[in-house]
Amino acid sequence: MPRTRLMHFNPALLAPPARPSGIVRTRAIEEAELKTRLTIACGDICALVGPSGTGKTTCLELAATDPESPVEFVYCAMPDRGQASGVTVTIYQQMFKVVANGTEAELRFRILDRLAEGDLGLACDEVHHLGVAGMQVIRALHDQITLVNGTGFPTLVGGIDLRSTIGKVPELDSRIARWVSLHIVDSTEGLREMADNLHPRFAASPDKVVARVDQLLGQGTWRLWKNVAKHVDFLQSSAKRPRAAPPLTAADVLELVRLIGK
Amino acid sequence: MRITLCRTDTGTQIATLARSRWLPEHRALTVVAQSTDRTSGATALSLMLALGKDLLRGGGRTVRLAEHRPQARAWLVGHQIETVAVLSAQTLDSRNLTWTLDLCQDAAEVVLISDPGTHARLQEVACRAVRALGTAPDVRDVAMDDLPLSQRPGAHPQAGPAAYRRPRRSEDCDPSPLVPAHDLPQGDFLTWRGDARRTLDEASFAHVDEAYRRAYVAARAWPFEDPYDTRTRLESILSGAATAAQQIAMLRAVQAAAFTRGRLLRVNMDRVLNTVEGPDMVGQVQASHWDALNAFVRTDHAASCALYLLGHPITELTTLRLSDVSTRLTPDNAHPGDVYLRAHLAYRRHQGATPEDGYLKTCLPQPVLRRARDQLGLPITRKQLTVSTPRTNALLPSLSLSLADLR
Repeated sequence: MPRTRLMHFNPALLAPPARPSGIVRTRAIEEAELKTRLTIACGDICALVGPSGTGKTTCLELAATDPESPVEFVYCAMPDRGQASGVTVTIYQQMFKVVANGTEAELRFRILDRLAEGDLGLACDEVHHLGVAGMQVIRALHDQITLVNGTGFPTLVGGIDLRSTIGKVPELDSRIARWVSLHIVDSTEGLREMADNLHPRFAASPDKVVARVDQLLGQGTWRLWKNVAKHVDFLQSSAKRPRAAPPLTAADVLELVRLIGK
Repeated sequence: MRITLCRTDTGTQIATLARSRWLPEHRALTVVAQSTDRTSGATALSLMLALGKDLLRGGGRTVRLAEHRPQARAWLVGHQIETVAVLSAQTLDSRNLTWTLDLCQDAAEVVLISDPGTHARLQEVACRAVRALGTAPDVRDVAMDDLPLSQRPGAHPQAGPAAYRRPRRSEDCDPSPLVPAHDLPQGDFLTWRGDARRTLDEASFAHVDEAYRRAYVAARAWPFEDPYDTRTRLESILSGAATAAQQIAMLRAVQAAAFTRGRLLRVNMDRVLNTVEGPDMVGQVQASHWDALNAFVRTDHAASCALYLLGHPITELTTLRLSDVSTRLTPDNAHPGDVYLRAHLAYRRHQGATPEDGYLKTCLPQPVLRRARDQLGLPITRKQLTVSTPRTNALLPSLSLSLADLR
């Protein structure tokens, strides 16, 4: 019979996120930061919604790693197909940085006890994984702290298509104090703002080239554009003139498509 | 029991509203519905957590989930809860709601509050739950604004649980002016006073050093010739200490004084502190200690500690009957210990006990008191946990006391 191997727990799994670097402060990011500050001041819930790759995680990580924030946000990425009890375990582990050990009630008690001190917030990412039952757990934590302290704790929840999910449940919908909508960038100005700040060769390129790159590779999302920008330095035209930043040509665009493999 | 289905208007901040409406001093308990509770015991646990119980304290894990139900019912009676308000009650299913209503059957009113726009669901769930309950409680349906504000004439300000506060832990209790014995240096008498000055803060050092100097000055005049005479003097001087820390300081001072007289006095420290008549610290019970007892999940644990803090010797705790305890209860829980006594009284009555039956039938007091001392910071010394009376005649061998001449 094969010997059972012990699962060694990797503490890096509970490490807080690193502060995102190289962020372009677009209007959406600034709006998210403003609403985060409002959420901290009011101690209520703010929802960040948008398609995948539009910056929700980046905004939550910015909040969780802001050294000047008056509260410390505990960043939790909700597990895929998570059950309601999994929400408690995830929050507990990220809050205390230890493996959860105990019943769900005990973990919930300790979370409430810590939240009641008033210096913590929650930044919950991927809440669309939870479903209504999981989001009710966060709502219940909020209500219980409000009963104890008279005010809740700042909570940021981020996910895809949350408006339709939360909108169906009145007790969740009524507790979202503000929404931040992060969109796919589809305007010329937005694309320019994004592209220009990602690579100097994009900044030098005409609008139609930027639009063509977006159409083929970027699709208006930050994540994909950042990925595209990484490959610009590997173009043959970039290798020939490494110190210059000439505008991209149609051939460069095709080469980018080939490099990325789309 | 009356059930009130309460509908709220759009834009209502329910938790904020509940906090100002159902107040602990009006014997109301507000609970946030936990839709994740899958068993009746879990529902009871949620109720007890709302009452301020701490699952992490001793006894919290030893009770099986099903046993939480009678404990929760007893605590509601102990705190004299008359109104239980359940927020977001529409998130419960009928089974969970039935369990909640069953637990609250001793309360006068259960208010089920729905979030804006969910009242129809609450009505449906409540209807099924009441049918499953088998009784025919009075059910009414009102808007939040139509509910009369809670005004209970004659409600004692101390009544109500610590539901709106975090449960007390030992570190939350008011700092005692006493120095815990385990904070003192562990070294031998030669360096003890210097170590104490270095490791203790000013106030703590002053507390022990006063006793040290007093004992040293007195012991300098002792002959240190006969060990039995030394023992008698030692017992006499140690009984004058106010705390166990002062006892330790005095012992070290006597050893230092003996050393200056060319004698090496050896004693077993633990045995001295356990055997010699020690200071009585029950008189130093503070309000925070009574609050701290609310952390216990089990009513018998809290009641044991409450009886002890009220002055009952340990040997008498298990001999008390229900009638003995019920006669000393004050109306409206005027004394802070009444909550715990009343709760366990209700628990025993629910078990079918008669007034002549034993009150504390289910637990030994010493481990509970020890746990209360360690986890809740109650003023209970090791000496007070000892049941047997000191045998002064056997003091000498039991202390491992020896007196050697170094000259």
